[in-house]
Amino acid sequence: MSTPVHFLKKKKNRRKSKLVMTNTSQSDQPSTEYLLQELNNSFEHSRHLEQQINNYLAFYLAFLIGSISIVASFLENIEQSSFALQINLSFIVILLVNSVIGVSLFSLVVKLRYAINRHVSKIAWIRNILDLKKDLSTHEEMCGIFGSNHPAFKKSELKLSIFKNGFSVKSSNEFILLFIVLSIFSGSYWFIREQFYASYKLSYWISLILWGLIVLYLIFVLIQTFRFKKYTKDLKNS
Amino acid sequence: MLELFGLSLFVPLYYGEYLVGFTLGTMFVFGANIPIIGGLVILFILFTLYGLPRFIYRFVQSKFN
Repeated sequence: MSTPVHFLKKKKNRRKSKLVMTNTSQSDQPSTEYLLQELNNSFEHSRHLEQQINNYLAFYLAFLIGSISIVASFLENIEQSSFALQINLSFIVILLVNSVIGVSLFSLVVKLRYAINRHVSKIAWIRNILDLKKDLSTHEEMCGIFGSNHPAFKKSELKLSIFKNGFSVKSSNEFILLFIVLSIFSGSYWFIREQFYASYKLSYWISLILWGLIVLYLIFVLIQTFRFKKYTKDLKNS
Repeated sequence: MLELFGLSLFVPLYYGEYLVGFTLGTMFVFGANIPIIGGLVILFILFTLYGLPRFIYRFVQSKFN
């Protein structure tokens, strides 16, 4: 039979040509200095993007504090007769505004996270090239450059599939934080309302919720800070 | 306050984290709304002080090159 032999030959040739291609591309590869420079650039850029995420979340938190404070000051001046309608309306409006801003912030954060992931894949690509060049081969040396806490080395990445079309978010700390914030805020609606009717001091509960949010945010920022502190230190050392 | 403005010529001080810190620090005395409004104004001034000289420098550099 002639066709299978022909097919095998073709396959062999293809493999040969691939080998030749890798040989030529190795000779055309950029220098190690250039690669390290690129590595540093994408590293710094991903760090900058992480800082941007923190920045946007902080603005959102400030807005949330402000909106809760507006509701609190608004409620204290309402007459008792028209109280039920006013409290419902004001809370629903504030909740809607916060949800819209929160969801748009979430989509922005996801975009930034994807940009960071692109940088991470670029870093992995450069790492492969450096491995091929045998300039930096061991894992420890690579950790010295990237930092062992870099997402490229993290194995336990959290994956959440939100929709059926395969929309997934990697390392979605922000999503969890946003979800917690929004659920606390929406849950606090009934909580405050009930407590207010039971003639508790409103400011006590609002301050309690605020401090909960603040503690959550501080934990998030601390995690981010320690994640980057280690690998920037490693970068400087290398 | 003037030192803050002077420092913002060299260091970016217009991040949201600083606004939250400023709000939390002054919330005990002034409430939340006044520090947020004031902080946003200060942040805008700090952003302008940091960004404007750099923008002018880049603009002049592009004109000469």
